[in-house]
Amino acid sequence: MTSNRIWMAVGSALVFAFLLGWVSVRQSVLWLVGLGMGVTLASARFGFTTGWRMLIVHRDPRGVAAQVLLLGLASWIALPLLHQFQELQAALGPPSWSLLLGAFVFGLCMQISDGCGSGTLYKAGMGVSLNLGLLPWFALGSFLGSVHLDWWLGLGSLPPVSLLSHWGLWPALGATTLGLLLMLGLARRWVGPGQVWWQARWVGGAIALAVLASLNLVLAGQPWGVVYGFGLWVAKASTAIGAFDPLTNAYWSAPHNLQSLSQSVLLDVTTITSLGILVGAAWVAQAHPPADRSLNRKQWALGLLAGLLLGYSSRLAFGCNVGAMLSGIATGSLHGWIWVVMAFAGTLFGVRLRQRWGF
Amino acid sequence: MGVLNVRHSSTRRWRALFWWVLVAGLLLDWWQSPPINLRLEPPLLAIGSGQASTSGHCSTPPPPQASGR
Repeated sequence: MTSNRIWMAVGSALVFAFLLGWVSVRQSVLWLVGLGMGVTLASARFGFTTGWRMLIVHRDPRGVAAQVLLLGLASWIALPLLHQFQELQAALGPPSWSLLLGAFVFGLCMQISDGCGSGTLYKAGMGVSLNLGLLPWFALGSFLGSVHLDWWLGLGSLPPVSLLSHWGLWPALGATTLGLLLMLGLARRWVGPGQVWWQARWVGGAIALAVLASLNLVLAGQPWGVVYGFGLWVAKASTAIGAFDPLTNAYWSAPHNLQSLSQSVLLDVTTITSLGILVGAAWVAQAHPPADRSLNRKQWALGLLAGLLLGYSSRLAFGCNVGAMLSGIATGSLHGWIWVVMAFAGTLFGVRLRQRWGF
Repeated sequence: MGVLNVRHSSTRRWRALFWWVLVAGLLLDWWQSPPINLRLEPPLLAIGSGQASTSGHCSTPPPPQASGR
């Protein structure tokens, strides 16, 4: 173990002790969960973006197969828990025009930036230049999207649809499993026979992430999310310098958001796990540094713009690949399924733009 | 080789800046926020506690009455 890794492990232990003593036991344990997510994502190089691109461009289903495994495991853990314990919350976003547009733009932009919500976090933690540079833009976009969300919803939306509430446990689990098998079937049809479907590190990553995402649900009472924390950071900073009045905004004047703005970000669930992902990934990068190719100015400009749009669109879509796709599908939300269809459609354009601009 | 060294040095500086800004932001936030009342601390496990999470999540829309929908 390098000395850097030792110091980072010591620092992480000190953060754990600080959270334990001065914030809450729950947040300190969620910090460990976030670290585990960061280590898993970085060491397995578990990327939703890459998996989709491999499927489309190379007809290689290994990444998508691991994602389907993750979704299946997470749903088989989360849905029975949600059915049994009423205090646990599902990731229920409303089907809406904003969801359709937001998910499409997110899927397109994540191919330009080579990172979705979790991907941007772990690659930034590992020190990949583009993801490091676009993270502040992602956060700004997330804030702006949340500020404008009410306007977008005014274009038309339906109440959130919970498969669990509408159908009960077993039909919801059955429908979710069938939907995931349908995804695999479509992938099988696209890639044809004779392909390798499973790669050990991604299967291991999927299992570990399913366990960690479930721990997030059990500990925090809500599913794993990423982009809420990004928006909160910028909202707090903007409020602190007097550039934003949350009381004038439909989203931020909601009681739970006002409460988040009035207290330390260390009490926010998504902030703690996201910080853990950054540090966990940085720890992995000390031993296994990532490839970091140089970009020209045009690519940088496009990458940063994609980062801003990633943040904005993820709020319109009620989450990114984690908050909407993984947590949405795993907790029985219809919006998770709509998200994955629209984001994949956006990705079909994104991979072509990525090639055109030489990323 | 020289160009590569300059680039790596620049990348290291950006990485360091990122972490310093992040830590500074967290310290500033901690310093400006009201002290945390540990007596109001939630239970370690939300599951089985009967208490719903009060933290935000990206899937949560604005309340209907606020948005006028």
